Amino acid sequence: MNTDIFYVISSILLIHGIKLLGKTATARKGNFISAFGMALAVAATLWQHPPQNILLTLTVALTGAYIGLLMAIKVQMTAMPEMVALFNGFGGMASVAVAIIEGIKLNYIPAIYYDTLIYFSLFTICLTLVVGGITFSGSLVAYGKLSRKLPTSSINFRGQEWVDVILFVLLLLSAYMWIFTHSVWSFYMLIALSFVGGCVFVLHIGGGDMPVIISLLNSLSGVAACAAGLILFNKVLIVAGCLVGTSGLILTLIMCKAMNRPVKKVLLGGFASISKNKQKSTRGTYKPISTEDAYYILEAAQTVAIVPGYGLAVAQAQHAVKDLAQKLTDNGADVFYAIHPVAGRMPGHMNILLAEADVDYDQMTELEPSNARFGNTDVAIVVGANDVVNPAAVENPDSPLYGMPILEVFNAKTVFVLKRGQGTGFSGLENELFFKDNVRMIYGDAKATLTQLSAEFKE
Amino acid sequence: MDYGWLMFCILLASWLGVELIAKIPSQLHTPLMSGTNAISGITLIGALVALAHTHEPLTEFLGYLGVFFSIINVFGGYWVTDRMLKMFNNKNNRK
Repeated sequence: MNTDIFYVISSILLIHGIKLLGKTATARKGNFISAFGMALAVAATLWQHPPQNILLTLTVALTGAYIGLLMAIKVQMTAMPEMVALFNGFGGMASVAVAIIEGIKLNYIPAIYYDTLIYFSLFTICLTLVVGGITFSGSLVAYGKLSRKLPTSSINFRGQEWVDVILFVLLLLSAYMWIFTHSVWSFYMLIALSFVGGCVFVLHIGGGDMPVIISLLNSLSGVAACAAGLILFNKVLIVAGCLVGTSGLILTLIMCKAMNRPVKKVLLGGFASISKNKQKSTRGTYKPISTEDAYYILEAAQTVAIVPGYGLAVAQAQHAVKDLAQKLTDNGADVFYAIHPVAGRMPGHMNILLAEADVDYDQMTELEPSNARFGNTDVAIVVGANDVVNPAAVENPDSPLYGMPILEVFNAKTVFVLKRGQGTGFSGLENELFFKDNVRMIYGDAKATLTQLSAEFKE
Repeated sequence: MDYGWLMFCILLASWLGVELIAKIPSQLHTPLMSGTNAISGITLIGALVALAHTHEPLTEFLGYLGVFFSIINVFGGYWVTDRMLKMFNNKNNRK
């Protein structure tokens, strides 16, 4: 009796789990099913390959499980993107560990015994090392950027294209040397280069492109697991890894499409080169408004749109925004949330935050239906969104944002922009929205502003 | 297992991945990502297999490291996904 039958069942459970995960009503069940599939696969593996030191394996596993659960329980919903990035990096690291173990084993085999099978292993080990290494270090850098421990803007320097090219060539060279000349040091070189590669790669990426990168790294961690499966000829690893790899890739493409930016541009750190050019924007004046005056306008509004962005997450203002929406609804207004697909720092980031604050998801409106409604909207409140509402994307062909589908909030009768200061968005671009005649700025912390507005309604 | 079969497995699983994700509401993007992220922790199996067949201090250490990291990924990933989905579900029930 071997484990194949259990691996088949567990693969089916994982696939079914992902399928159910795609619908709101069944998503939670889908997650359970996929967890069960995973448990079954692990049990079957333990049975076929019993650990040498059960006590130590159990201790390590339980410690890891405990830490994982602790992190998952403690994390704030606003910190979700960095948490996913961190977990993702850990998965990549595990694949790298597998590849190094198998690589060290092969290093003992004299070259005269090399056959097709060993060459195949050498090749898959290289693949796992590179993809897993990039996933690990890339995810850690992404974690650093998202949690603001590292600078969030894209880091670029002169001649970086050359650094990229040299890194890439060295990577290929050391893989080639290890496979065909069997030099042990190039094996370790390859490991080091993969880690460096991942860091450099994600350091290029600007904050606004994070949703794309997070989902790309997620995809890569699947590819790494699949490659590790190829080393070990483990079917469930191959199948599950592939599923994650392709589904992550599709999500990445959806994100890119939502930004109207080709994947290539995102990966090369597109915005950076542009923001250096001093762009001649239609400078105007900001027109600030007090919360009191804003209240009078809101009080008379029939339809109100709320446009959340990353600033909502930073200010942790999801509950405050929901309170205000409730006040507005009680006041007889029709409230909807206009959500841009790439608002925030990960795909669906805003939906999660609003769901935490108990916002009905019938009120969460996607890009196109929102744009259809702005014409009849009395007030649009922009909470910490910037680039996704920049009219330059439709009006200014010179703008690097041009062509990106945006939420056309400027069609609303009045727009309030809640903003901390007069800074630019993550793209580093001046937002022409702020100079428009129907736009009023409310400066200050988004949460405080929203709370003040709600308080006005009480009186 | 021959290479033809491997290729076949990969192609089939990749096609499935594409088909499963192609139409998905954007509000589920985050749970989907963290759910599939948990699945990528399946490399835990790889670490367990590698660990079971190694007899050197260095490789054993790497094996335990792999188990440790991937199990954080698995448990943390599934739990956090469930936490998010619970928020969605609560609302459904109340309606």
